[in-house]
Amino acid sequence: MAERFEQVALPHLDAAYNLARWLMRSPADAEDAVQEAYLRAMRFFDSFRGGDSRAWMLKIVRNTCYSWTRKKRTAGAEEPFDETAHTSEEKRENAEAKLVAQEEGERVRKALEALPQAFREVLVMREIEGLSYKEIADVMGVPMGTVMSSLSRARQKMREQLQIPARKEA
Amino acid sequence: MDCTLEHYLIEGYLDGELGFERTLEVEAHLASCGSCAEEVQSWKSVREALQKPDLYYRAAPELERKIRKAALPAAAVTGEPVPWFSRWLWAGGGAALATAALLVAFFVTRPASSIGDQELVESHVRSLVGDHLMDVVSTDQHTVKPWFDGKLDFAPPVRDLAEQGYPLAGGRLDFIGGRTVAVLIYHRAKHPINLYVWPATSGGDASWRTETVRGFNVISGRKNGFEYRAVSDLNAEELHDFVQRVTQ
Repeated sequence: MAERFEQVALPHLDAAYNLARWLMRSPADAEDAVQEAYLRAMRFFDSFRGGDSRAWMLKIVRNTCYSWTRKKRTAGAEEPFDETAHTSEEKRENAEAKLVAQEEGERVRKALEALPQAFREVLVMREIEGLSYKEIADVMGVPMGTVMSSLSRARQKMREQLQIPARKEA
Repeated sequence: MDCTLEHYLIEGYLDGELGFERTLEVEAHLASCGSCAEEVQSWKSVREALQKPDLYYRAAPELERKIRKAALPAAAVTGEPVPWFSRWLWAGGGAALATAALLVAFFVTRPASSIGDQELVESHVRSLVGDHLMDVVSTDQHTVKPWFDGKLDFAPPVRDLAEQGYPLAGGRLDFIGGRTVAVLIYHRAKHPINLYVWPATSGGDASWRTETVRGFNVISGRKNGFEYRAVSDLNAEELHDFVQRVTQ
């Protein structure tokens, strides 16, 4: 079983971390959430009936992230934005990128980070992770029509933020 | 340019979610419509911006090592103690799963008290993209009806009208006006009909009202404690006949 779990779940580690990193506020929180999600996945592994293992894994990651953020919120003490963890990690990541591409990348990153969570996550899943509507619907546990309408609105917002011109209206 | 191509079709095309025939239709349209072609280009620019490699966060090798250490031995030995924070979370795991789904459903759904024709037509158009039309595909009412059990807080009446020329094709769930509704799909020749059903909040039957929205006919009414909305590109007369029969 451990071997099968390794084959099914571990290949999605980058996808899992990427989603968690966009949902959580700091790299440290994202790592904790991913680790927790893998422990859960191990426990729920019996319930995995084959099929789309990436969507299955991402669903667990997403639920873990949501229950963590909610836990913090209901505790009444909204955790202050972890400035040190955030900036030091960003510095490390930035140093790896080239300067010019980095400025443009930063602009997009900030725009995406500024979107409401419900919009950010569909964009991350569709455009960055490349999931289909059906897979996103599975991850989020909502009908496909809901995925399509929130994706559409998220795209509109992102386009406004990036000041990319839309078609000219007559 | 006055263009009527639905934005869901443009985005469905962009996302590779349209079936073969619709892809060809959209491509033919794009070849002749500069405005829509411009829109596709605009969405591609948004996509390119988001697909920059430094926006994809990769897991550190250290994380994989930690997970192997924590998750894999737990797999080998059942009952292996897991960290306290983990156990703490298990307790709420199931509930959290359900609540997370609900929360998202709540936040991405516009809070609308009544269901507008515009919204129904949007849902109808979305349902035509790719294979999204049906979650359960069956011409048998005794398969479609039980499929809704446990997915809704009501049991929608399901009737096959194959003999009257409106064969049942299947069903699905949709979120409209902030609530989950049952959608039954019928066909008349090549025209799909989406029939939306949910429990009425006010009593009494309401007579059928026909509207045309963006070229689609929408018939609304209330009967026997259910709200009904039928949406189709079928002509109004036949759609009216269908509604009369299906709610009999």
